[in-house]
Amino acid sequence: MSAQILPSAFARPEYKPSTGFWPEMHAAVSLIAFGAFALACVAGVMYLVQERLLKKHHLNSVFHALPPIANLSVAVQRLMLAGVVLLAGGIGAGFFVDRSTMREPVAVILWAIGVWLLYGVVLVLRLTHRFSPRRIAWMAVAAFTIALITLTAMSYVHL
Amino acid sequence: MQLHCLGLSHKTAAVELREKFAVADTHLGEVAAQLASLPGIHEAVVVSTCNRVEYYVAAEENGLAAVQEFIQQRAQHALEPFFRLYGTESVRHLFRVVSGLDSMVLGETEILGQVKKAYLAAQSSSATSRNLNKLFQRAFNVAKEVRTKTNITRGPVSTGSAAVDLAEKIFGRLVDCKVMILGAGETAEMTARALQSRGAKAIFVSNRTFERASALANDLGGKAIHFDEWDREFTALDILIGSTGAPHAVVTRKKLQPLMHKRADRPLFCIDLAVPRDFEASVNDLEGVYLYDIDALQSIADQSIQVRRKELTVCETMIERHVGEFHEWFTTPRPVITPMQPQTEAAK
Repeated sequence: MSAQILPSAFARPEYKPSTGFWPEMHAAVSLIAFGAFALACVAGVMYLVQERLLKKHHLNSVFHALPPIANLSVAVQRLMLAGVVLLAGGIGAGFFVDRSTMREPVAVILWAIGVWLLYGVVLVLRLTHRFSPRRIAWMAVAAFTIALITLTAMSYVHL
Repeated sequence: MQLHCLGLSHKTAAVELREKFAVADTHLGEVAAQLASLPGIHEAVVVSTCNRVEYYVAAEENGLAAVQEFIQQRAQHALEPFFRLYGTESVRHLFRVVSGLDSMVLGETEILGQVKKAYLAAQSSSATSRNLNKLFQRAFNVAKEVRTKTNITRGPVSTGSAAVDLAEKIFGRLVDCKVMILGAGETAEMTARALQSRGAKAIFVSNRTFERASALANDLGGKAIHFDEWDREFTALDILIGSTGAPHAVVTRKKLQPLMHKRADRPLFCIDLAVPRDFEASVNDLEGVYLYDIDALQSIADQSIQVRRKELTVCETMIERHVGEFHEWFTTPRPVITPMQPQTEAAK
């Protein structure tokens, strides 16, 4: 599944990506979902930096360059929500792809579902106010880092 | 003909003197026109603000006495406090004034609007012509360049404006922000007004003397609340300003912590303007709470002033270049256009 998103990580000589409506939808929507998660991670870092500067009263040029902290909090939440919805669509589109042409390892499919579940749980905890804006910012950074590390690790294991 | 500037400012005269020479906004054009009609005076612009009264004239050498006489008669006061600047000195002075370099608060931008207003009043009264039109239009360009290419206007320079800037850095737009003032101190009122000017709408005032809270709430268009009940409105608040005269902290961490759980994770900006302080310092350690006391706000204002002072040399260099260019234009001989003569019969 996500081998189509990051083909270089799973590059094999005989690999040819599937074409057609569903494979392309699956790849495109999943790619946009991970783009949203990446942006949520960036917004999360910006939130944490801005929060620290505000707390410590260090109003330097970085502080002036960053957006208001309330806007950053909203951005993190919305980007994560967009990522979760899009990734659900991407995974869903993957089920319509012809199995005989699909060359993704099962582990990658499970990894994508795991990432979706991780973000989904974080988002539910946020929407039920069990996670504060600060914690959701940390989670946006942590979840994306975990997703990247596990994906890279899998490319070496060649499951 | 030469350019002249006669005037007084906060640097040369106290407010008691400045008010004697002040010209009302509605009379700026009329006074400029009266001046321009005096013998030896070609053009005039009168700038009058709370910090300065300045007369810019394009006049012959012998016309200056008439200007002085006019000002004296109008104010019924001797001209001792007036400074007199000639030629490039007056040009340099105007460029510094519009750029905010001569202002009480270095780099303030309000003066530009005031000078523009004065110039437009003079222009609409036909008191200006080629020289002062060129001078003032160049001055407005200089002010724009100084403001956009340097940091002379950067950062807040008072505790009130520092608080407002911080509020915008926390909440973005202040339109939906709800503000509460604890106590009815003058600084708190000024800060609340500054927040109102940026869009904050709902203002609550809570004071031990309810009548005083009501009076201030009426002034601000807000709502008065009994002091013992301020925490009932807390969940809806975004900005809490402390300015009571209480000898101990009114807002403690112990009191705030349970209230913060009811706020649906919205940040809270606490502005402590009271001495002794109204907020316990450990309140700042609570998640989502940003506490700034009077010293912290003053320190922000001081930093901005330092940044502005550092920019002075760059601004002066920029202005000097424009003064040189204007001087070159002013001293360049203008082409003489002679009226066309009717052709003679012989030439036909």
